[in-house]
Amino acid sequence: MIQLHELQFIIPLITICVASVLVLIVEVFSRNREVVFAVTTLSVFVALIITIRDISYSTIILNNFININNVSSGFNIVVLLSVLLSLLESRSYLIKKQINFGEYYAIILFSLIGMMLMVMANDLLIVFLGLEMMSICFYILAGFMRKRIKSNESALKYFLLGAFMTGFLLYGITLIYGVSGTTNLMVLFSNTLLHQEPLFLIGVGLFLIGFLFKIGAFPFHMWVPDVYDGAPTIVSGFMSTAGKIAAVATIFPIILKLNILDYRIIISVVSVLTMMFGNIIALAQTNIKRLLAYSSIASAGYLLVGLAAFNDMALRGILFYTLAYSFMQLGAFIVVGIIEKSSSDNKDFSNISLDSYKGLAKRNPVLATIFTLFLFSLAGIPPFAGFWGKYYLFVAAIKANLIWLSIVAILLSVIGIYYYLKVIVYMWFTDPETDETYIMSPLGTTAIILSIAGTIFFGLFPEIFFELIRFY
Amino acid sequence: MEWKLELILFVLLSVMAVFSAIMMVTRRSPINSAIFLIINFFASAGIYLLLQAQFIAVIQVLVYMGAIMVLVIFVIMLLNLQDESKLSEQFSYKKLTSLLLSVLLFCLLGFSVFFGFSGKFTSISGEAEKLGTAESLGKELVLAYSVPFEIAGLLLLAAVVGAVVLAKKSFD
Repeated sequence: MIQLHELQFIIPLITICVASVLVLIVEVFSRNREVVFAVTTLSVFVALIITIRDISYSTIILNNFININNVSSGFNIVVLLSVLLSLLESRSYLIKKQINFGEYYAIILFSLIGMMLMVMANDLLIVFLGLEMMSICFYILAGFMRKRIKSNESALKYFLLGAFMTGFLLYGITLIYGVSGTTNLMVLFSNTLLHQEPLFLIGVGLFLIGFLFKIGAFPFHMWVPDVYDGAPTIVSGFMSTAGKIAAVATIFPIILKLNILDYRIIISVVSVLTMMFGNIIALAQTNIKRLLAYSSIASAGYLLVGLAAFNDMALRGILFYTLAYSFMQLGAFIVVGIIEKSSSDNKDFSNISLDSYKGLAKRNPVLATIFTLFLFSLAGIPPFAGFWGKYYLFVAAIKANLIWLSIVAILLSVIGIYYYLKVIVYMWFTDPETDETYIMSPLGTTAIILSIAGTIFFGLFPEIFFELIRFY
Repeated sequence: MEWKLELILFVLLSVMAVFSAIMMVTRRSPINSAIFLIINFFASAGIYLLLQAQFIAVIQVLVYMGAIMVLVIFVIMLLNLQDESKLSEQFSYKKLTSLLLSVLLFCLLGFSVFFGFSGKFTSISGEAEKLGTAESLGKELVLAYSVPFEIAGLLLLAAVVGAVVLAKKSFD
């Protein structure tokens, strides 16, 4: 039975649930977007603070459906942070694109509920429901610019492929349930006899495929560039950070605790191919959103290096890389969103080719410096946070005796530096072709300042994050 | 193995299900496919009944064969597909690869079901009779599984809001 006092452990989740319904009610009766925005941002902020305060909780509650510990809370903090950052920039971007509807905020909150549930899940049912909740909201958000063909294409593509891959995931869960008779993760972890059943292994494999699709790993990556290119820029940033982090945060502890070493070689190969594909195709991109999409495929590859390592160091690496990633990737997308023009024709995005970044340093040195910082961090150059993320992940692989994997990963991330530098060269060492100016809203500026602060602060003091979530 | 009525029914229904599934995928006309899908749903509803899951069987008939199939056929008619015969004519390596991969997956699953997992099933026929009713299903749903039940409610709310956002003619 569910006890009432158990609810105190999920106050952040309840806050978000209440806020999401409240937003819908406010939207119906007053249509005041300022109130809607304030309620949304405030609820996410409150949930973030409470999650940080309650970091030491460690319990399994609500009929064994929810598992709260410092790792799941740590991932929740990262997810909440990236949602908060994208919300801050959302408002001015939506106004610029004339799509500032209250439903946007409600859907963001619904997807956040899905992500948090997924991360805290102790049952495959909750994993599935959370993942679906997140995915359905993403399909809608990708098509939120309803009058743009590209946005519609992006939503439809994502929806069809996503629904198909959900079939794989569900089939995997069915097989796992068929073999074991339970969907409870704790029981599945402890029953090691089960881990030799071929049907169980196939079930876990299909389950893994569903998640590899969500994090955009090879060979399930084909949707990533098209969807991120067509979706509203701030939504692309949101999907590539919060969504990916939640999926990684769910699948990683499950794979780690199941400890099926047969999967190590498969995950290693997938991670090498993912890094190779993302980094090499990104070299040829001339569209900044597609470039960032391919770089996010490469990042999924780095995270899979950690997944292949199967040890606690890898958990550390994944926690830190997702934190750094949410700051730098989202920061980069926010800058792209600011530079994007508010064109009157409803056909396409404008100002997202690399050419529009020519001579940015001469036109707007502040924006150019900010973007350069994020790109350096994404490339993994010290002392930014992105460097430590990669460092922890590659060390984890070395500790797991996967030295070949970490060497390949390092070589491929060196290739990655080339295309980040290409953008930087465009900004600093070419002459401007236009004399456009860009407007930075106060809230968007706050988001950028927070992202920069995070990128630099956690780059200088990486251990502070682990002390914050009491992960030693 | 004696040929009880149950077994005969099971073989009949499963042959029907597999046959209609294959026909559904291979038909060129979408309406024909939809009709084979109905037969497939009917056969699986029969299998549910054999497994003592009366409630699920009824829901399968009501929701899938009734509501969802009407929707599918409506969509097919609204889209008015005329040149569907062109869609599946040429041979391509893509198709060959996907065919090979599906056959591989099928063999893998079939092999592990028949050889890796035979004889390990435990019979729960006594319990199953009680579990299949609407009453016990409802009890489980609101007592033991209340959390997923609530979450499913939120999920549907999100989906409805999203559908309205995407389909509404004009905002403001």
